[in-house]
Amino acid sequence: MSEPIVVARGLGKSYGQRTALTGISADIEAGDVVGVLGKNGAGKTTLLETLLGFSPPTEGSARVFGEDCLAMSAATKGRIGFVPQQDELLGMLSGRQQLAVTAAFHSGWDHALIDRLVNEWAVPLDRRLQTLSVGERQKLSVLTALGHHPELLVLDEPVASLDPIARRQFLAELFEMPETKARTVLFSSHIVSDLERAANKVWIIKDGRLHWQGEIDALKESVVRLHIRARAPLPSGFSIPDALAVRVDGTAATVAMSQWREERGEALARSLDAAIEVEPLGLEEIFVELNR
Amino acid sequence: MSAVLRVFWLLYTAFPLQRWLAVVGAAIGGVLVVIGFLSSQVEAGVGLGVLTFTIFTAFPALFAGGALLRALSAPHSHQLFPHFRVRALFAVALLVASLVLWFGGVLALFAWLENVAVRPAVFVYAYGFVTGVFVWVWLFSGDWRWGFAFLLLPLGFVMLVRTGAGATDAGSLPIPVLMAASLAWGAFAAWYLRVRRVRAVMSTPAARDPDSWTEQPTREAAIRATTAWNGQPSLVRSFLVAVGRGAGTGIALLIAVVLLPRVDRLPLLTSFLWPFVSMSLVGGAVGHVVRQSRLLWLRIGGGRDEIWRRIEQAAWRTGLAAFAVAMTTALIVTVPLGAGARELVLGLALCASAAAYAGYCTLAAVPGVRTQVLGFGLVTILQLALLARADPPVTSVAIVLVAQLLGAALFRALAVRRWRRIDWRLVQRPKAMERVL
Amino acid sequence: MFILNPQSGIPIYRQLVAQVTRLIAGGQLAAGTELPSVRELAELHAVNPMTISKAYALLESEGLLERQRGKPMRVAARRRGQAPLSQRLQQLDRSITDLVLAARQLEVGKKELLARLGEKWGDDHE
Repeated sequence: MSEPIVVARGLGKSYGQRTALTGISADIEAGDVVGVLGKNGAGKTTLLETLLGFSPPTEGSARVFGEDCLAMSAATKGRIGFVPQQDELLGMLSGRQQLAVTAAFHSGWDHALIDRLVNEWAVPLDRRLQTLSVGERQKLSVLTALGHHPELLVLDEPVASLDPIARRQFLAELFEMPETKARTVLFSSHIVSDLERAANKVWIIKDGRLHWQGEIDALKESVVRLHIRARAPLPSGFSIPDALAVRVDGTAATVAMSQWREERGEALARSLDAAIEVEPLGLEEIFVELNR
Repeated sequence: MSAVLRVFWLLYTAFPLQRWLAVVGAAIGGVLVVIGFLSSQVEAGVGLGVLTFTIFTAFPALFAGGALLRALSAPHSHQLFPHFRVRALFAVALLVASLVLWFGGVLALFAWLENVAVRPAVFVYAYGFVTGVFVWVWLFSGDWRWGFAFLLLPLGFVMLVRTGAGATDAGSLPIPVLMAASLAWGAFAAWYLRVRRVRAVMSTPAARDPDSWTEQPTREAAIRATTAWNGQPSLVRSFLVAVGRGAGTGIALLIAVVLLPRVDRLPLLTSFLWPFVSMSLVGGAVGHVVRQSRLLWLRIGGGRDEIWRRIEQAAWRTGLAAFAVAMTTALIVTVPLGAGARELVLGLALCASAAAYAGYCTLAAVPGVRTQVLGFGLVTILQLALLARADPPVTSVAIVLVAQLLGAALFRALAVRRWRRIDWRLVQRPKAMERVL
Repeated sequence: MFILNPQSGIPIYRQLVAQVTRLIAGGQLAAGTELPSVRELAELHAVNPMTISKAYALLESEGLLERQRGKPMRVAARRRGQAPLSQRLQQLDRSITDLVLAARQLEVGKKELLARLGEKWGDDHE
């Protein structure tokens, strides 16, 4: 396997006293689909834009396709597709003209692909972009990032304004890649269900730090909610190692915890003399528990 | 009633820049008054101080008014507010009244400072002026081609002045102006209250326009379009759009100047007015280029040095277009009135240096606008101090010219340094409404 | 054919593995049956194709599926006979645990439960 596509080491960004990001160290391998999850203001957009060099990091470094993010060559930039949170469409142009401008920057623009998607996604091309709805602008914004078949696609809340069907179409397109080139995707989204469908890895950002990173499957197997029914009332300060949240009610307790493994269940049941039911948690629940 | 007042207040404060300018204008104005008192040139101090504050506060509100009203009237959701349009009209009426009193008051103040009789006619002229500008901005914020119609106005005004239409009796009111303005408002109000849909603020007309993109644009054309003031790839078309947008600014200012006490002597190219117009237009155009610059980051290879090169080129292109607009208007106005060759050359040089100053000041104003406001404020003081008269002496002009060139060079050095580490997350994004001005 | 719930706490690949395993054990997926391709299944369920690949790879390593060149995966022929009873029982562990828990919550005794179990067994199979 070759070098990771994106490498961040100790990446940090501060604005005077305010620290937006700190100590971000992570790799993205070719073919990964990484979802970035975090509360509003946690630093998702700052992270994505700092990784791509829009904002010079104040500590650490980020490398994309082996080059420093502040000095990427034209060839490297041509392998990246970026969809920012606020679209960067030129309002005075029509959709057709906007696509023509974007196409002029890339040598390998796939007109057939764009034509197909314009039809499937029902994007109006002949009106001024100022007159389009938010959803239509978002779709066009995504199109401008797909036409040159980028190897790295970075998306900041790309589908927040799209209806569920449009989102499905978008997800389907993400995986529509030629067999020869793997596409790597990094996207942030509030729509957790999209992340669960599309991403194999997740970065959870909390207060500017990378709170958790790894495979979604591993995360789901690691963070669970235990429903404990003991024979004797539990002490009020009751807790177990790696607990994220504990609620005690007489002989019953609910504990959200991480680092869960099957073996721990038996040991715990014996030590507490209790029946333990393990509730696996969906990504949204996990996110809520990790952010307490 | 409070809704009306709120909208009225909004017309003065909608753009953050308006608030900034108000603060700066008050500060500079206050300083000028104090200087006047201290150097026992009270009249000059007070006059300049009040003029500065007016320029920084009343003029932006005047020019923003029409566009803001359109921006407020276009959204469908606003139609659901009870009596929305009536209330908006009342707010506009308040704006007009306040501006008329303000401008009229300033003119009266000038008359009083020069021990000339205050003519009630100035209020009527102010009324006509405010009406004209408001209607013009309203029209052209919906479609930039209206700007061309107003290119004809300077000629009309020059004719008016030459035939001495301004030399009325001290006490009489220019009835025609009063009637024309009132008629215009009546027609506008009637139309506004009854029309179903108001077009949103747009700087280019609908797609029916002949498409300037018959073929796939080249990469260079795409870069030009991305950085341009108005998204147009070709320089010619860009210029046309700029003329349409910008012509009226000079014209409106011209009209203002007509109302100054010495109506028979229009300001020459070297007076304060034209450098100010150049700076405003060029500063605005370059500002747009700066805010669009982030679109180039992932399209142009290399580091920020490369982006700076392209942006400086784009700023020159755009600045030249804006400057051409300002000078076209200026020439239309001053040449028929018999401006001399020496004055023309000096004036053009002065305005060019002002434009260069404004352009580089704006380029250096990253990430925020503070640098820009400060830079503009300082040079405006200088211009007001030395050039605020109809016929400034050559030495004054030379001083300002050199100062502006030096300032431009300094700001360029600052810009080069700042762009090396520019943080696009801090640079303002272009706002839809800003495209009008 | 399969029911996949991306929002579940159980990883998608595990859901698929469990269902395929159960269907094979129960005989609904006979040996030699071709399964939908990775792409088809991913499109149908709107999930990342890597998830489906992961499930198929796991099933292949357990000997339940076999790869064919240029064609989709198919159910492997039972080479070592049926899986041992203990392994088959393990497949049922989860359901049994759920059943016992539910019975306890409803305060249904062990005897009554087994009786009902017998009834149900008697009804469906002779």
